[in-house]
Amino acid sequence: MRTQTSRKKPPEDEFSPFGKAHTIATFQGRSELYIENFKKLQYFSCTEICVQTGSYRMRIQGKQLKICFFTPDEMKITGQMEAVSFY
Amino acid sequence: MRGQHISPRGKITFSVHGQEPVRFFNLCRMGGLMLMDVCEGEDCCFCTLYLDDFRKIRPLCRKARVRIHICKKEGVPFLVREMQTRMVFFVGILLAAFTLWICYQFIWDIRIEGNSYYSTQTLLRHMREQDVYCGKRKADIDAKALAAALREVCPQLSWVSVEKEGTVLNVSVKEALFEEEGETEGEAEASSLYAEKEGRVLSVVTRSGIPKVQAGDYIYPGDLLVDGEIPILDDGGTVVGYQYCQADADIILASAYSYYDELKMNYRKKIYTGKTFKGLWFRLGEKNLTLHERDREPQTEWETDFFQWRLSDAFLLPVSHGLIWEKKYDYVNARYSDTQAKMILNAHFSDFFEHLDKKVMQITSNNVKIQMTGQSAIAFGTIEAEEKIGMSMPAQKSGEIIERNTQAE
Repeated sequence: MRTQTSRKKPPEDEFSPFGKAHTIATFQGRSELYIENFKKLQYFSCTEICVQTGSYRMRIQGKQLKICFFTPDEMKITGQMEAVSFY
Repeated sequence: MRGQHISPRGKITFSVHGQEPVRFFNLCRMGGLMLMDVCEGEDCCFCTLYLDDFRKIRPLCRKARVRIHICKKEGVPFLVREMQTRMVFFVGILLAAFTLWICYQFIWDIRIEGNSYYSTQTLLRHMREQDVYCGKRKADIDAKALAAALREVCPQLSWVSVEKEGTVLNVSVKEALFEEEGETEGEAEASSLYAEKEGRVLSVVTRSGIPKVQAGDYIYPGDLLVDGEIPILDDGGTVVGYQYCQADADIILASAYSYYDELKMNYRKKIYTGKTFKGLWFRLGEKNLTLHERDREPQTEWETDFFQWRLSDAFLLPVSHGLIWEKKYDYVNARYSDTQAKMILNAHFSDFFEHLDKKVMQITSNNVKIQMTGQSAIAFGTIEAEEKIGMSMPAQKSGEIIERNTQAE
């Protein structure tokens, strides 16, 4: 007898209207930034940090940039941030 | 300012050298490690990992082709390892703390204040009889019981407070003068007033008893001044009985004090020639340890300083030390100048004046003069004063005479 297995749905992000987990970036002033649900770190230097998210890249430019903590779930960037761009 | 936090898990800060440090960071992240304080340095990146995470990064380094170099280790695991290498130092600290704690459990100083009738040594002796002394364990001292015992042993103490403060026992006392109590106790007994000095009576104000002297009389020591025995007379003037009271009166007497003080003009003056350090002196508890030569030369004085070791004003330690100095002196024949001699005699006279009888109310004349005789200076003369006299003594009772009178009737 063939058993039917139901495919598990991916967890829905409560902030996403499309049911897909989006990257969440939270600023605290211009000196602290929390990023959740990102894929990997693309590039790191003290003036620029690039983060690969699901469908785009996020570039943070500034001075004396530093990653306070870097865990599987989230990361915190501190420093004097000047620009954030997506490409 | 951020305070320094000691990590209980232990942290290692290291530099990452190689072509792909970002790949190494991503591998660490995928491996579930928590990277902290990632920053860029010169040709390398710096980051921090917990000690248990750091032990897992060797295969990740190989995979990302990076080399790491440990820069800093901090946290409790490294502190313990460091303590093991400096065991003697830390054991010393622990021993010192333990010794201080032991010292804190005992009394090392007793401070008494407010006493004048009872000397400090007397009170300390009474406290020693109550088993309270320097070096006694604080927990064994019952402050309330000690205060009660001191009040019982020393009746002149009207109030006693005993307080333990650090390693000091503070004893505050208040003394009450019970001189008047004796007079009130003797209220029931009849008494008369007698003269204790010679002189002319200036005024008599009697409150109880029969005055036997009046103003202008010249009295001698032992004379009856006020009689406490009051005769009761019948209509015929016969004594039928006696009423007894405690004689009380203000009798002012003009009395004279003679004064004589002689000061030799030539004297031997002590001149100190030098002060030399002789040694140290230590005291631990009640045991003394002296580190100096005990030979004492003639014409020398020894001066000793005393310092009790303390951590604060209330935390004294049982250790004291002192410095011993030897002061040599010579005698030189000297002579007082007239001014110096007069100043000394005046100072002696002031002392005499201060210690005059408390009953002296007023000095009416002061004829003391200073005479210089070449070899000595002499202060002599008389001081006339007005003073209150009257010594209370039991009245002589004439009870037998009354009985005889009644039998004859």
